[in-house]
Amino acid sequence: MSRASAGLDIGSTATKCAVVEDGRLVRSVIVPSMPDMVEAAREALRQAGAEGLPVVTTGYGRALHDPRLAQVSEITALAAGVGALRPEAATVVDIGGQDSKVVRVQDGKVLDFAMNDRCAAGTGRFLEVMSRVLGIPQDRFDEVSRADVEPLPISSTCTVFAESEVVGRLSRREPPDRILKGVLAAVCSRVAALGRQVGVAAPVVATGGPARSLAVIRALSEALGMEVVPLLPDPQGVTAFGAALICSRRSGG
Amino acid sequence: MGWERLLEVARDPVAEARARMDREGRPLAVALSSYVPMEILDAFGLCAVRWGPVAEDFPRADGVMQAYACSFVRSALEALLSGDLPAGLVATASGCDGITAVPGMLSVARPDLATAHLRLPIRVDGAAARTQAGRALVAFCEEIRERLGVPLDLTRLDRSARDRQEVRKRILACFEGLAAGSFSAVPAYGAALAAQAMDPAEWLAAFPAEPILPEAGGVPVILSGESVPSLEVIEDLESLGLRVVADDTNTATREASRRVALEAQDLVQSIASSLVDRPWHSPERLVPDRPTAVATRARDAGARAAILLHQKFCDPCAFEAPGLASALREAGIPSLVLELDRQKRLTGGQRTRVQTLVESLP
Amino acid sequence: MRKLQHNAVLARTIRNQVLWTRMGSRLGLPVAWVTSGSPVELVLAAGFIPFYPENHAAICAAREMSQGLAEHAEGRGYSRDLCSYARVDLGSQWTGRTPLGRLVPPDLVLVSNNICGTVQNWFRLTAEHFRVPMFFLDTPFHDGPPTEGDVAYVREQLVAMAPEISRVGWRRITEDRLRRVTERSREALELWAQVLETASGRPAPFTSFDAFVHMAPIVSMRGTRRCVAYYRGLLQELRQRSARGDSAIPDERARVIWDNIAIWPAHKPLKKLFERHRVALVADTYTSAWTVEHLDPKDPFTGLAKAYTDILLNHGVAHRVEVLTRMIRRFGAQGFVLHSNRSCKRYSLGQYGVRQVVTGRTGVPGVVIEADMADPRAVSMEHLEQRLVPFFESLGAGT
Repeated sequence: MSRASAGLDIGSTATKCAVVEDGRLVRSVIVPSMPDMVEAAREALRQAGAEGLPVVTTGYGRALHDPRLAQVSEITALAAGVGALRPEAATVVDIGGQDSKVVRVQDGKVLDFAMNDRCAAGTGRFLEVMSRVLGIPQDRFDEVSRADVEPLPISSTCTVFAESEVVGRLSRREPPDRILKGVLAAVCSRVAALGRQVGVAAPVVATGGPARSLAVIRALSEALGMEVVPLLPDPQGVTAFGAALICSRRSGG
Repeated sequence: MGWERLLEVARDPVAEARARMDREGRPLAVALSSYVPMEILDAFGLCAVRWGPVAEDFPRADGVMQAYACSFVRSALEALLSGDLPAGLVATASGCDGITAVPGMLSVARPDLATAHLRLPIRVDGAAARTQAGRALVAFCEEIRERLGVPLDLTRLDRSARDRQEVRKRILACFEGLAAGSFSAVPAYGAALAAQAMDPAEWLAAFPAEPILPEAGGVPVILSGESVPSLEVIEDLESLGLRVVADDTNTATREASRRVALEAQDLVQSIASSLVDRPWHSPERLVPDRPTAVATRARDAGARAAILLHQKFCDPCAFEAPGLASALREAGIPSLVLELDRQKRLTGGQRTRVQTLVESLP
Repeated sequence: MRKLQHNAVLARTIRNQVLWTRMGSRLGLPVAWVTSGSPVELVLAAGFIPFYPENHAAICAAREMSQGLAEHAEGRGYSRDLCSYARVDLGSQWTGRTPLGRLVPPDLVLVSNNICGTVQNWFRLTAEHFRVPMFFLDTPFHDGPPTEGDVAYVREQLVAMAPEISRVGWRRITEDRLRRVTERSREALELWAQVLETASGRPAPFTSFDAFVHMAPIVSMRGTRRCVAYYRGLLQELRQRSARGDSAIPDERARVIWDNIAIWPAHKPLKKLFERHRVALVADTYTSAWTVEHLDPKDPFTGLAKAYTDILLNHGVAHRVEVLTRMIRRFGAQGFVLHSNRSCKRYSLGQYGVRQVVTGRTGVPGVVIEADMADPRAVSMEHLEQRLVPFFESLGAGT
C-alpha cells in the first residue's frame, strides 16, 4: 500500500495543490492566492484533502506558507511534472502571472533555464493589462483572435509604451481583434527572446494559465518557429504535480 | 570592537560616515569609484568614504538622471541630493559612462558641492598609460587643493598609504581563507564593506585576530560583479544553500589586491602606478584575459557554480557577462547572472533562480 | 517645398561607396572597421578602406532590420540594456545578415573611447569574431579644452600605433600621406560646417532631418576627395535654395534644436510630425560633433590628437550647455528637444540638468523625449507625439 504525497504551488495569482499516489495524480485543486497567500495555501491543502500528508511547497510564496516544510523551486518542480506527463518534451515554456520561463528538460530534470522576472512584458500581467485596455476579457481571446485575423504590430515591448501604442491604435479606430493579435505576438516574441538564451529544442510544451488559450499557443508557435503543444488539460497544475512527485520520491512513496 | 563593530559598519556605512564627521570634525569626501585612491583623500585631511550601499528608492535622483543609469550611481546621487551624505567633496574616476556623468550632473543639481574627477587612462598597458595615470593623479590633487583650499599633507599620505595597504592585505587574506574553509563569507564581505566607510587606522584596530569559521555544507560558489550591494545579499545566497569560496567582486578582492610600492621616492606616482598595475581589473579597463583568469580562480577554489552579481544598466558588466559565463562553462562551472536594481536583498524571482541552479547541479 | 536634388546624389554616392568597398576588398585592399570618432585619417594613409559599424547599424534600423539582429545578440546573452547599435551590429556579424548584401570583413578594427565606453567592448567582440587586431585610442574625457598632458598621451598612442597599422595595411603611414588625408578631412569638415550653417537662414533651406541623412559621407568618407566633392555640391545647392527662398518646411512657424542621435526607427514619421506642425529642426549637436580647427596638416599627429580628444561626446554637461546655448542663439530657435536615448548613456545622462541650465540661460523651453536610436521596441511614436505636440503648440506652432 503506497502513501499519498502532496505538492503545493503558491503562485502570485493562483495557488495549486496536487495529490499523487503511485506516481499518479489523484486530485488537483486551484484557489486564488490573493488577498492572503498563507490562507490560500491552507485552503488549497484542505480542498485537496492533503492535510496531514507529506508535502513539498513551491512557487513564489513557498517560503511564506510554512518555512519548515520542504521546498523546491518552481522550475525544478515544473521539470519534474512535465517529465512525468510528457517524457519526450525537450523544452517547457511557462507563462506565469508575473514571470515567464523557458526550461530545457530531460528525464524530468532541468538542463538549463532562463527566466524573466524583471519586467511585465512577456508575462500574464502584460496580457491582463492589454485585455483591460482593449476591453476584451482573456477568456474571449480565442474567439476574437481567430486564425484569419491579420495582426497589427505592437513594436514596443515596454508595458507602458505598449499601452500607449494600443490606446493610439484604438483612437485611430483600428480593429481591436487585429490589435489583440499584435499584442499576443509581442508577448510571445518576448518569450521567444528568453528561449534564445537557452536554445529551444523540440518538442516544446507550454504551461501556465495563458497556455489554455489557443490564440496564445498559435502566437507562441509562430514566435518560436516550431510547434508548441499546451500541456492540457491542466497547464496551471503541472508545477504542483511535479512538487508532489518530488515529495513522494523523497518520502519513499 | 571586533567583528561586531565591523559588521555594524558594513550594515550601515552611511551612519558610520556621519558619525565619523561628527567625531573627527573633518569634511566628508565621498569616492564613487574603486579607482579613486582613498589615501589621497585622507592626505587632504578629509573624512574619506567610498560609496557602496545601494538604495531602493531614488525620488531625487530620478529628477536629475534617467532610469537607465545603474542604481549604484543613482543611489549615490540620492544620498548626496537628499543630504543623507553631507559631502564636502565628491571624487570620481574615469571608467563607465554612468560614473563619468556624475560630476556634470552635480554641477547643475548641487553647484555648491566640490567635485574632483581623476582622469585615469582606460588602457592599462604600456608606459604611456602609466605616465598618463601619474599626470592625472597630480591634476586630481591639484583640483582638490584648488576646490578646498587645503594642501596635500605628505606625512599623512605616507601613513595612510601604509594603513590602507595593510587593510587591503588583511581583507585579501580573509578571502583567501574562504576556499580553505578557514574563513566565512559574511565577515569577509563585512570587513571589505566596513573598510569603505571607516578610517583605516580605526579599521585596523577593530579587526579581530580571531576568524569566523564557516558552517559546514553548502554548494561552493564564486561571486563576481562590480559591487556587493549589501551583506543581506550574501546572507540570502547562503540561506539558499550556497557557500562562497572565491571572490571576484570589485568592492572586495579586486580592490583589495592593489599594491602600492611604499618605499618609492614619489609616493603620488607610485599610487598612480598601482592603479594601472592593479590585478583583476574591472571590465571597463581593457584587459584581455579577465574571463579566463576568473574561471581559473573559480576552479582552483573548487567552486561548482558562479553567481554574477551585476548592477542592472551597468554596461561593462553586461558586456562581460556572456564571455565570463562561457569561460566558466568551459571550466565546467555553470553560472547565473543576477541583475540587481534598486534592491538590498534578492527578489523572489532571483531566489527561485538560485535555488533552481542549486537543485540542478549534478 | 522642393526636394533636395542631393537626395539622389547621396543615394548614388553611398551606393558607390558600398560597391567600392566590396570591390576594393575583392582586389585585396585591406579593410578597417572604425568607430565614428576614431582617427580614420590614420588608416586612410595606410591604404585601408574604412567601414563604419555605427553607420551600418543605423542603416539596419532605417531599413527595419534592427530588431531581428538585436534579438540575435540578446539570444547570445547580450542584455537589452546595452547599446542598440552594438547589439544590431554584432547580430549582423554573427548572422551575416545585412541590408548591404554582404559585410566586408575587417583586417583590423580601430576604436576610440571619445564617443563612449561601449565601443571598446563592442569592437573587442568584433575583433575576436574576425580574429583581427584591435587598435584602441584612449582619449581622456574632459570638460573644457584638452590639456597638454592629454594631447601628449593621445599623440603618443597615435605615433605608436602608426607603424603597427602600416604593417597590416599595404603602404606605410608617412607624415606626408597623413598630411594629405588630413587636409582633405579638414576641407570636407569645413564644407559640412557651412552646409549646416545654411539652416540659420530664414526660412531654413535644410533641416536636421536632412542633415541626419546627409552626414553619411562626412562620417564614412571623411579624408577622401569624393567626400569633399560631395559637400561642395550640396553646399552649392543649398545656397541656391536660400537665394530662391526655398524652405524645407512650408510656412515655417517655429525653429528648434535637437540633442542626441536620430531616432532611426521613427525617422520618417517624426520628420512628418515636425512638418505637419510647421516646425523646422534647424540644428543639432549630433551632426556637428567634430571640431575642425585642430586638424593641422603641418603637424598631423598633434592635430589628430587634439581633434579627436575635443569632440562633443568627450565632454560633459558644461560643454553641452555651451553648444546648445550657442546654437539656440545662432539659429534663432524658440525651443529645443532632448532625445533621451536609452542606448547611449554617454550622450543622454545629464540631459535633465542640461535642459534646466539652457532654459535658464536662454529663456527658451526644452522638452525631453524618451526613445532609442535603433531599437524599435523602445520607441513609441505615440509617446513622441504626446510629448512633442503640446510642446510645439506652446511655441505657437500647430497643424
